[in-house]
Order: sequence, then structure tokens, then C-alpha cells
Amino acid sequence: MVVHLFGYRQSRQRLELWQRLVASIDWFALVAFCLPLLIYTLTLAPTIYNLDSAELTTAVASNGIVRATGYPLYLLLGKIWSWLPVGDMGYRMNLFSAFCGAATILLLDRILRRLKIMPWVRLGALGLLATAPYFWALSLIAEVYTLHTLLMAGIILLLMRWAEAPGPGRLAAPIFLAVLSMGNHAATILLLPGLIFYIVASHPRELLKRRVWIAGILAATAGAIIFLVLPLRYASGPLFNYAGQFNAAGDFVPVNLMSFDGFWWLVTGKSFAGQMFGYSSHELLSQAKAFGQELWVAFFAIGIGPGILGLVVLLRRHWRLGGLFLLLFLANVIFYIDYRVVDKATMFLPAYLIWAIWLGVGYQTLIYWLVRTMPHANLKPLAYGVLVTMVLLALAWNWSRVDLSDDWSTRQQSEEILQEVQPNALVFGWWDTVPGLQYMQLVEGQRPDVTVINRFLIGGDDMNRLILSQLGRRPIYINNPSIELLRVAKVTPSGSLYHLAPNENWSGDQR
Amino acid sequence: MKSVNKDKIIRFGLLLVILLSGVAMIPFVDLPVGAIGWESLAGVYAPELTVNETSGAPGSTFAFTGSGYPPNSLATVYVNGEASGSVRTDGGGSATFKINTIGVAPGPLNVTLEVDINASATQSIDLVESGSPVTPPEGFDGPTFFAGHPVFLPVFFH
Repeated sequence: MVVHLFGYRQSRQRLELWQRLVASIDWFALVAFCLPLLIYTLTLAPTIYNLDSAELTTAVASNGIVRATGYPLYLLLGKIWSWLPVGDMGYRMNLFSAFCGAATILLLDRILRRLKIMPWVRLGALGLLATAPYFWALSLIAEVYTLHTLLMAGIILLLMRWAEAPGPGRLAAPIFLAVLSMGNHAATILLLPGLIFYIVASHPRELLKRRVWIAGILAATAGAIIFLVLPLRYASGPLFNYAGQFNAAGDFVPVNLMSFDGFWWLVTGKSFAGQMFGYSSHELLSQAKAFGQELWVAFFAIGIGPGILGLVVLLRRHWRLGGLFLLLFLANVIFYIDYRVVDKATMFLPAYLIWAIWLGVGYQTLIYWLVRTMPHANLKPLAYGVLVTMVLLALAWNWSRVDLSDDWSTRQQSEEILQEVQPNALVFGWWDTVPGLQYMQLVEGQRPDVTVINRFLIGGDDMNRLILSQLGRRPIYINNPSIELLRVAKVTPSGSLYHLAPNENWSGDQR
Repeated sequence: MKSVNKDKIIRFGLLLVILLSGVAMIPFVDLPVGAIGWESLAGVYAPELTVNETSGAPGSTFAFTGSGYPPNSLATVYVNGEASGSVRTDGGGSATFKINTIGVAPGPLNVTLEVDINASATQSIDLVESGSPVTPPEGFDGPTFFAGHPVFLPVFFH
């Protein structure tokens, strides 16, 4: 009987321990992270994806260098993440984006808690963000955007923490993270106006303290160390390098990242300067309308009115925070509306992040109004039900638009090309062709005999001269032959490329 | 009492207006239906030239659509390396044109639309003796260029 009593007491202690553990778990935070992660994992691209995704994945795997602005933080974190023993390298890097997307939602949950937003309201607002088409789509492929939103949410959270109890250490944290974030995406610079405003508006006297400046400078310096990744990688002579150019002889001339000029050229994105502020004044209205439409789609129509309400309420009640969020939103929107690239719909995630915060505030305000209007009717559960239903509808509506779980197209295309091309071939293509091929070669060891050149890395004249010098000497393939080549070469479709061989006009003098 | 009810009604009405304002925009918004994938974004890196049919009988007229080109630029149309005409791309970098193959012998034709060396795309079509005649889709807009060099002789009736 004593033994039985002892056993009963042990089980009871274990049960109590278990109950305490369960009670200590923040279930809403767990849901805020795990639910998006589950959805993203179910719709994740199963292997290497195309365009920038293939470039980033190959660079992570091969310790290579990517195009401007270098993305050293992404390369370093991606390398650590890539050691996970799941799937192939492409899958792992896609999963990294899913993790960052889910972690962004978790940090936003924390931000909304500080704004005293109720749990079901947070679910309603963050659920629409998590299921917004482009936020969801970019959480499914190797890309820098969800890491950028994660860092942005982290900076906001650390700054709010500093504002509650200012001190040098507490200000140093967001400064460190902001500079580190520049190592992932140079668009972090668009956060500066809002961050500076908030610091100056919240505790201007802090800026008179020497300790604060010393801590800030040290923090910025520590964050900037991430950029050392670039010259170190350059020094190792990586096989995969997108910071440089091929010449007419087919030799790759890398930009010297150990020189200040070369390093500055890469990290400041000078090669993309032509696209910035690329629209004329009469084109800007249509671009602004296009963004408005994307925002409307992202928040499933229902999130527009409450989002605007949240913006107004926050400005009235907490003008410093309201000003911070407004400046963060405007800086990103104004810059990207005037950025002339076709894929800029993928670049508004920071704006959507801010809108989700406004949406949470707006939803809460509406519920308070509802309760005050009809205090005797218990309408809160109904209101929460409407918010959750909207999220479920958005999930169902957008699922088929973003689901990549069965997308093997990049792998298939790349493997078909490598099977098709003859030995010792020279292959020219753009971003939709070459990065996938390079992944197959450098990460999976397929067809190392084939030379693959991204036309982004070679001038048109140099490419033509290189092709003419090699025509008839080795098999040449290109995605789109220019007119000059069409006149001297026999052009035969070969899968998704064209095979070039000398034609009857070819005399060899053209070399 | 009446003023309290009026306040409630106004507040409730305002609540509904704010909540449903986005939904009210549905008739004015183009609802996107296409999947988001790399194919829809690839044009930023390489222009594309597509055709309504890739093979047809000699004498067919094929409808070509170029996309992903530099916007508002003059693009030249080449057939097997020979210039046939030019079109101007629109603000979105797209252009359309037709190729008439009257008088052209059966065989492959490479049709190229080029702004410059790095903004060039080629689409191959095949003229097959036994093929069906191809015509542009209804409403397809764009200038017509001739792949061959047809000679049109005037005919006089007395």
C-alpha cells in the first residue's frame, strides 16, 4: 500500500509539472509561428527554384558571390541553415524563407501585443498578412525578402523596447540589427527616416549623452563586420561569382572586392541605379494605382478600411509610433512605386508588414465601437469569428495561386538542357536558364564539361565576338540569337535553346 | 434617448462603412487569377516572343506578341535574319505584329524581334505543305509584314 501511495504521488507530481508546463506555453505565440510555418511547408517549392532563387542557393552552397548588393548576411545565415539534414540544397534554402516568414509573423505578434491588441484580433490581422499572395509566395522560395521583414520587425520591436526604458545598450541593439540588416538587403536604408524620427521624437535628450553615441557607433561597427564576408569570399576565388564580367575571350574578370571601389560598387547597387526613379511623372499615377491594387489583394479587400482606420488611430493616440510606422510605409512605397523593374510586386513586403500593424489597431478599434454600440449583445465572439473566417477565406482563395509544392520545372528544364547539349558545349542564357544550370553543375556535379554564361555578365558585343570565335570549334547554344548571329549561323531549335552552327555564309573570317 | 440611439446608429453605420469599404471596390479592381511563379517574372531578365501557332500552311498569317522588351522602344522585325519592318514597344515593353507567309516555300522560319543585342527574342515557325492555314486571332492588332517578297501585279479590266 505504501508503494501504491508513493507511485500515486509521483504520477500526481508529474501531472502537475506537465500542467504547469502547458500553462506556461504562450499558445498564441506558438500558433503565430507554427501555423504559418506549417502552411508554408505544405506549399513549399520541393527543390531548386528559378531566377534569383537559383542564384542565391548556388552561391550559398558553393561559397560564391552574388550580384549587387552582395547580400553577405543572407549568404552567411544561409550557409548555417544549409547544414540542416532535410531535402536537397534547393529545398533547404526554400525552407529558410518559410522559417523567416513565420518568424516575421511571430515578431509582429509581439509588436501588436505591446500595442495591447487582443489575441483574436492579432490572429485576424496577421493571418491576412501570412496569407497575402506575395508574402506567402516569397516564403516558399529561396529569397531575401522574408529575412528582410524578419529583421525589420526585430528592429521595430527593439526600438519600442528602448522607448519604454531608454539606455545606451537598449538603443545599441536596434542600431546593430539595422546595420546587420543592410548586409541582407540594402533597402534597410529606407527604414532610416522612420527610425531617426522615432528616436528623436521619443527621447531627444538621449542623443546628448556621449555614452549613447559611443554605444551606437560600436553597435554599428559590429553590425558592419558582416560585410567582410564579401572580400573574404573574393580572396578565395569562388567558382560561382556574379560580381564581374566576361570578356570577348570568355574569361571572367571579377570585380576586385578587396579594393574600396570594387567593394563600394557592389554594396551600393550601382548597377541597378538606372532602374531607380525610372518612371516619368505621367506614368507614376498608374504605378501608384497598381500598388493600391496589390495592397487591396494582399489584405483581401476587407483589410483596407480597417487598415486606414488603424493608421489614423495610431497617429492620434501614439503620434511617435504612428509617425514611425507612417514613415516606414511611405519610404518603401514611394521608392518601389518609382522603381522600374517588372518584378517589383515582390518588393512591397515591408509596406504590407506596416499595414498589418495598422490593421490590428483598426480591427480592435472597430470591435470596441461595436461593443460600445451594443453593450448588451455579446458580439465579440461573432466579431472574432468574422476575422478568422476572413483569414480562412484568404487562405483558400490564394492557395492555388501560390502553391509550389509540385513545381519541379526549374530542375526539369535544367536537367533537360544538360542532357541535350553536346560535350564541351558553350551555353548562353539569361536568369531563367543559367542559374538553374549552374546549380546542377556546382551543387550536384552534373556536366562540368559545359561552360555556362549568364548574358547579364557579358556585354552584347563581347558575347557576339566570343560566339563567332568559337563557332565551328565547339557546340554553342543560346536562348535568343541576335540578328548578327542569325546571318552567319545555322540556327536550330534545341529544347528551350537554339543550337548555333556555321551556315553557308560562314567563312571563318568573321572570327 | 433618441440622441443616444442616433449616436449608436451613426457609429454602427460608420463601422460597416469602414469594414466594407474595401469590398465595395470589387467592381473597380482587376482580380488577379494567374499563379505567381518564376514564369511570370522571367520577362524582367529576357524578352519573349510568342506566336499563336508554330506551324501552318504556306500563305498563313501568324500573330506574334513580344513582351519583356525595353518600353517605348523601336524594335525591328527580322525573318531569317532579314529585316521585314519595325514596331514600337508600348509602356509595358510589349509589341504585336503579324507575319504573312504568302509566296514563301515550305520550311522553318526564324522570326526575331530585336531592340538591341541584349533585347532580342526569336520564335521559330514551320511552314508545312500539308498544314492548315493559320490566321491571327480575332481582334489581334498589329502591322503585317511579309516573310517573302511577293510581287503584286495590277490587273486591268477593259
